Amino acid sequence: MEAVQRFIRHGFLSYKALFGWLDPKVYIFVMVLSPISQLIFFSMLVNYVYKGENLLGYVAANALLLCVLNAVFGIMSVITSDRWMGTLPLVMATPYNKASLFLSRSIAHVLNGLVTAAIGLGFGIILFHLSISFKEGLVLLIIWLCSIFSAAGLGLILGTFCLWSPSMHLWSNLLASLLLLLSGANYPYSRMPEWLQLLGQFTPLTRGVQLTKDILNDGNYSNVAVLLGEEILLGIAFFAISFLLLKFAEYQSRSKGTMEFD
Amino acid sequence: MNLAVSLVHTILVHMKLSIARPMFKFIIWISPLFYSTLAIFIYGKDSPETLFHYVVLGSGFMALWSSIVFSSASDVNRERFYGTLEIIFISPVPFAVTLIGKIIANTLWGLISMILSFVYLKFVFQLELVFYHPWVFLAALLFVLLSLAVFSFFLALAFTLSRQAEALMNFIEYPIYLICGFLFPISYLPAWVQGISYVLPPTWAIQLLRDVTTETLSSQTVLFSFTALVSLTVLYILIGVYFYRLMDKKARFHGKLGVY
Repeated sequence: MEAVQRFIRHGFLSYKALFGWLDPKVYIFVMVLSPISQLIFFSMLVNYVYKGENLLGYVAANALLLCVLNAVFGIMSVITSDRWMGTLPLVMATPYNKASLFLSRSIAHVLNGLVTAAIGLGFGIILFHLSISFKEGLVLLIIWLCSIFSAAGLGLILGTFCLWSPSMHLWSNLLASLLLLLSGANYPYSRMPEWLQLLGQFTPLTRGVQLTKDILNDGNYSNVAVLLGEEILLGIAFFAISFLLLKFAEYQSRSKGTMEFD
Repeated sequence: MNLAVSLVHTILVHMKLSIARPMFKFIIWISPLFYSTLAIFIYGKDSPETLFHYVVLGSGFMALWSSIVFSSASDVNRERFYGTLEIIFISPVPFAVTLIGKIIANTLWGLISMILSFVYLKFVFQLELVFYHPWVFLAALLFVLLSLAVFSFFLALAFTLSRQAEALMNFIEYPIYLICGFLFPISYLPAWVQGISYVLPPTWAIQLLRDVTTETLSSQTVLFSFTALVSLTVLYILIGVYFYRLMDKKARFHGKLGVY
């Protein structure tokens, strides 16, 4: 029980340390207004191009995509900020299990991603006078939680890159753009060339976006179990890879002492 | 003459400095490809003119705007962060010349990024580039770049005077895409939003480029967009000069240039 409490406390403290010092105005600009402006832009665009057809699915898919801010940029900052503040060697030298440590730090970002996506969906529904049933909302909540967990896994892999690369803004923006492109949130998935569709199968959010559109546009729940299972497996694989990368970085830091250098 | 030489040197040095930043490399070389691909996937098949106006020009303008937002608008703030702002400010070359040099350098990179977007859409997606009146288009493009450089000057100073520069910088990217109608006409927006669109130069800049690339070129519509853009450019020059004086006062009277 104490281990669980420590796990939760660590995740909360880590999140508070990242954002607690921020001016609320800046936090609202970055974490609320900025994602909402992205949602409005893409929703207006697809509404114009597709003349309102399947709008609810597109708005919700774009709302899900907003989690990238937390799942990619937030998770990445878990490692980059420690490096920036000079506390990374202390974190890596602690006897506490690193997989558990970074998993606990990711939880707050997964939940924050879910909140950001939910705010985006709520805003989109109000703006475009749409509606969503309680059942649809509940199923979406589960799907989005799994998708954001999966995206957070990929975000943590990217975060480990900062132990070797100084160009984290480049990597994070590249990943965010790739997720926006490959998820098919703004167009029918079949519109992409086959090789991009194949690539999309190995990125998170693709399945979440597909399920969101299936449920809200067609009322189709038949793929939920399969695609959700795949999304969870993908997330577990991403987290496993990131832990291996952290282990390798830990080994390198002990043998070479280069953790704080580019 | 010396000022002209300083300006050219600033442009060349700043072009090298900007592109040395990995994030700026992403904005110039990679992000236009993403914008263009997204736009063409969303629009799919449409008339060549629509695709040119909203996919080619729209995504090209998104690339141009990103280079302005993530560089020109934050360059002064970046110098402040590096601790070099005061040194540049008191150097014999007027600060305004240095700032204009930086903005021209970033605008040139933005233009390269825009051209990259055109080439990518032309050769990868086989889109038709409908330059019915190439010389008119070139003249309009030159004026558009000048107007956007003036707007960048205004933004750079406005962000220098604001503590929330970085948050604002990250925030204004998508709203400008939306409000200025980069990928769809502003007539589609609510009337009160269109009111904001009309006072922003990028709205008229892209409108002017669309007007001069219409097959049946109408001198009346071109003149209207051109006049609106000229008026706004003059307005932003006046506001820019006022902000410059404010910043100058802040530096000389209050000694607060480096600390807001």
